[in-house]
Amino acid sequence: MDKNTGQAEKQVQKLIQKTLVSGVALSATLLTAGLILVSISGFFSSTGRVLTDSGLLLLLMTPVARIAMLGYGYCRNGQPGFAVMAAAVLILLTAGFIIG
Amino acid sequence: MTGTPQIDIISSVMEFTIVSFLILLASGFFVGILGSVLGIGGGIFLVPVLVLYFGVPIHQAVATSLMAIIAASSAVASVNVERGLANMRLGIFFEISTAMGSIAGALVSSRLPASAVQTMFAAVLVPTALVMLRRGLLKKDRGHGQSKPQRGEYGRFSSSFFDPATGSNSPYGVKNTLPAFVMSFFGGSLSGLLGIGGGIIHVPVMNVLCGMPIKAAAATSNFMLGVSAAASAVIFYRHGLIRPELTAVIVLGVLAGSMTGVRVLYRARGERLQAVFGIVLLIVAARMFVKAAG
Repeated sequence: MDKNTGQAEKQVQKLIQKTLVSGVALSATLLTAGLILVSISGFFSSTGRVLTDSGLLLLLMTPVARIAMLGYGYCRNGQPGFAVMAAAVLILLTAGFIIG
Repeated sequence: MTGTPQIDIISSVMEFTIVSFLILLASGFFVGILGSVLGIGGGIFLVPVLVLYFGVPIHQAVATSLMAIIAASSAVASVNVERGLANMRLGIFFEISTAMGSIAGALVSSRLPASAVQTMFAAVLVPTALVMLRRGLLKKDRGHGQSKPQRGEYGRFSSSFFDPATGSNSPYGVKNTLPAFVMSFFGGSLSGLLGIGGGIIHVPVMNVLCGMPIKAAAATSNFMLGVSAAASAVIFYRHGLIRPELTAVIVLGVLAGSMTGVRVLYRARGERLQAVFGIVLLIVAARMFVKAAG
């Protein structure tokens, strides 16, 4: 890996790290808040359930966002081959959701 | 151990006992440690715990396990990517075949009877346990013919990382990418079929076949697991097989375990953990066979 590619890789790494940390932190916050609310007000606490469901959905979407950011990062740094690979994975995930 | 009362415990948060809550949290924590130290998803431990101890139906256990894998992968990858341990370019390449395998596995699994999934799971546990025992008894990572960085076809995925164990930068090349790409399909299919991350295939393939150092292989495997788990989890989500409260407790445990384990991975080796884990898996496999037969 030459110096320029190494720098570009570092930029993509930072982008991915931020995406993953944001997804995990927000999801953990929603799950914790949801579980506390449900525990206090019982199983039918609608707010608690909404928060828990949102936390899980956000967690489910974190790897998807990571792929999208990876594609964006490689595209921006002039490595279109890897951006195409990321797009292919996104298409596969969408197809899985539709046919599943 | 009776299944029905414990299904009731976890089907309603109102009936969550402190003990079951703590066991679920601790299971998640252990799964997080495994994911970060060994590069495997941890579903191989979590699914049997949910099925055998809590009496959760196998398909729901698989769905919960997939969510736990996503949590472990995302938390650990956020650290490993920053350290340069996870090879992102190789990861995104293998994720194409892994995602295909994962979707195929989930589609098949959701249509199979529970006993068939349990039997397959137990059958996968036995060789996994033996491989872990063997690796755990080896003192050192022998490198498996670690590749030097190369130009051209193999050099495209070559990378390097700082290894605190040696105190130096470790450059490496990646060979046999096409056979490994095909093997990744099977890693992904295990994820969708049985709710295990597929790291039990990815790590040896990248270490032995591609010639990557074990730490980079484990970190790259973990990086990929989130995507293969997400590819199948969306299918289980659509089938309504994810139990929110049960999954939420485990995910919180996983996140705590992952953040703890990722610090262990950087400095220590996991041989002893692998050996102990191998013995535990053999016992669990026997119980899964008995449950599937009964």
